[in-house]
Amino acid sequence: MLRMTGIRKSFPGVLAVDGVDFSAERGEVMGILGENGAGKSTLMNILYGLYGMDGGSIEIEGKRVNMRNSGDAIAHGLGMVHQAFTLVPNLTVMENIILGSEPTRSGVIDRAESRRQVEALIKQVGLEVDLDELAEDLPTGFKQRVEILKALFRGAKVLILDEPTAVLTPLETEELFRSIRRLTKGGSTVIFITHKLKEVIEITNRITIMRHGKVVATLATSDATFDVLANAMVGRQIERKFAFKPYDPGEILLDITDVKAASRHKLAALNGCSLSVRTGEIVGVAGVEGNGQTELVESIMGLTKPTSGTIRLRGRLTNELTTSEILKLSVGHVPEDRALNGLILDFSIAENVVLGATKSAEFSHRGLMAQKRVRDFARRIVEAFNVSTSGIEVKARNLSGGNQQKVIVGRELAGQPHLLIAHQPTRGLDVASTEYIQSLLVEARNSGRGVLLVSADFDEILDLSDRIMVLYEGRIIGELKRGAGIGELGKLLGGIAAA
Amino acid sequence: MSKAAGTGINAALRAAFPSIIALLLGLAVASLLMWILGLNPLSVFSALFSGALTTQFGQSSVLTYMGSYILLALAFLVPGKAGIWNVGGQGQAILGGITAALVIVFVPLPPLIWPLVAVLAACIVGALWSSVSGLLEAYRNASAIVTTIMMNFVAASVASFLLLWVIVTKVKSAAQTNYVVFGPSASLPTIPYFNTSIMFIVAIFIAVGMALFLSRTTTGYAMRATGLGSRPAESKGINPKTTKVIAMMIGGALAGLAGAGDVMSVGHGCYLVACYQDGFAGGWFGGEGFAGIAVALVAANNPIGSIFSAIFFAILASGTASVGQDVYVVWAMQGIIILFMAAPQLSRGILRLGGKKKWT
Repeated sequence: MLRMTGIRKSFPGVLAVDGVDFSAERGEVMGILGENGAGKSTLMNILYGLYGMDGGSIEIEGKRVNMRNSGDAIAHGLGMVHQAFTLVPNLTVMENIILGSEPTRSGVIDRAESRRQVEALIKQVGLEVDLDELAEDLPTGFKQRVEILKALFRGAKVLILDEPTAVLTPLETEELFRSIRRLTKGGSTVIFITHKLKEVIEITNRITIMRHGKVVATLATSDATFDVLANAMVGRQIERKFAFKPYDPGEILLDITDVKAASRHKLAALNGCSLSVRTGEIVGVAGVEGNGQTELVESIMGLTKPTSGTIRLRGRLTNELTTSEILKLSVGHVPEDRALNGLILDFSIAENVVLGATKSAEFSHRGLMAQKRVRDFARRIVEAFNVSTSGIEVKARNLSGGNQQKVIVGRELAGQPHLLIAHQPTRGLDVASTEYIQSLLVEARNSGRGVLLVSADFDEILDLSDRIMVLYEGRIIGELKRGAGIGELGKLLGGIAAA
Repeated sequence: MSKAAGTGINAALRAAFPSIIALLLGLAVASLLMWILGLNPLSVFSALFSGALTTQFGQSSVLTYMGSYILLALAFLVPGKAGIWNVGGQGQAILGGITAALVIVFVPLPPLIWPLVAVLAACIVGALWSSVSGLLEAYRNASAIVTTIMMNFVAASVASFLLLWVIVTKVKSAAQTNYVVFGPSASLPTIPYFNTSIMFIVAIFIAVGMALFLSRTTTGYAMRATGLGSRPAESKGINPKTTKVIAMMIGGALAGLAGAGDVMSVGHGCYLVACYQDGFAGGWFGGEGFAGIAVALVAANNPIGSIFSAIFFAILASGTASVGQDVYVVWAMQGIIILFMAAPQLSRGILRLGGKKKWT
């Protein structure tokens, strides 16, 4: 029912989509698999009218259509749910769903009719959600559900989901998959963009695999195996094995005792948290998001002031120190959400790698930046950490997620820190970049640094950590050693302390 | 297109492109407006440009306006780079001007040092005045947009008091006249033929200096980092609060300098008092500070660009005197240009109506 032929799109310096053919039939889940920067999202943004295309054509139900903007796309029965949600936080779920296409009676929103229509839609597709809740109070999975309902309410017959599971917990992902199955049974088409192999095998009927802006294969999911997909996507074999040196922890680098801290919104996000990190070990902090991870890292970095307890870095009490003083104690910090906290997107790579270091004697002289040294340093990082870019003057915004993260990790490791704090270091990254970033963490540990790995990716925690601390409601409720299984971790994560 | 956006003439032209389009569209729409009103756009424009560019008085006032406009544009855009909006250039300039006048009236000094001290005092007062808004935003979360506007009114009142009760009183008792005339030793050096002070040259140097300051110094870097991403900057140890306050103080100092320049250019001492007699309505107190924001906007917040943008606005301001009673269309044109600049999508839409869809 939907066919894209010979689609081309270039951005300054990049051919993002290069002669791509793509189709989706009624009632199927069509997967688009590819690494970050493969052109998946660009292709779908073209389909949804957000980008103009340089060449090619789009047909819907046999008729050639021209998508000038998302309004056209919606009129042709398309709906798209982006990675970043677009709900109005202080409107209710129902208001969000009808926003922009409200049923009206003589120019006034007809609330009774709206509710009737929305309830009918929910009944039809089976996506339960409380209509009177404020959007801001919803958990992530439900926000996404509202986004889907919003698209369906506008008559979407083809639903484009851009990396929908990136923000979901495993349980929420299950729920989403159930919803997708129900939708396709009802005749909707779902286009599922992802780089996760497991998911694409689980949920799709057919898969189009993209690499470097081109389609490398389109196949029925029944013909696909993990290996076939992985090789097609990455273009080479992947091996997830790290060479750990024997575990031999040394002196204590970070010592947190009974720390309490408030979050930006709620009270008591950290509730008596204690843990320590030694040299030569990776300590994983596992937990479902929102259990105090952000506040834990911010407290260590001096971005949030603990209300009680002590934090010691290499023996020095840091509760009252500023962030720049803490950084001088040889701490590297890979913050969560690289685009928001890690990089200045409108700065070039060169400007980003010296963020916070411009006052050092290495990069400045009497208040003037040492341009040449900054550039040399940036080139060294680009080279040493395999950042794929056309140059160091490229803005961080124009790098793929994986390359952005390489710049951050490179910047933090270049200072040879004693302690590296990595917060969600591989979230949203493709397979190859994830593997690479993780190998850098292992390398840091092997070379005698301490690594505090805070992650909601439990495979990552189990793969990398020497010790695993389970964070639940602001406290460490259990500790596991390397070799623990996902089952043990799962039990603790539910909050059932092994008391 | 394959090359990364770098430096050089090409990049500069590309950066200036939206501004040039906005200017051309502004001229076009203004012509349309004149035509609808039954005016001949050609004769309006020729009066405007010949008035500004062919007479000595016109040239002189173009250069004078230009100096103030550049400085006031910088007063807006330099704090803007750090993500704090200084809409108080007007008030900071007024206080700077009054400060310079106070120094000249009350603190006689040797030539050369006299104007220098006056200018310096004006900068300091401008910086201190703007620091209040900077501190309020950084530490008390009060938007500088609001506080700087409010402080414009306070500044105008303070200035009016000082002018009326302090400066004029002193001058009257000394010379039995309503006019303050600063002698050459208290004025800024004048450029002979153009009969304007060196302020516009100083301003051009400062604009270039600010461009270098922003791109080359660690403080400039910290300011840009704060403006473009205060969270990553903060997590790497840059203090966005102090950075914002510093940026705001630089802006205030530049505005104060602009005010001093206006007062200390030859013959402007009496102008100052004339303004007071006009009830602070026109001229110096009329809104150069706000014009500066428009200049910065058309320059796309680029310090170097603000030199060229200031020339254009200075021609408009200077030429209006020759346009006669239909001067309102010139003001309308300024507004239209600013509108196109502030809403690039609008320009794109209009261009797309006329031609290829090559803009997305």
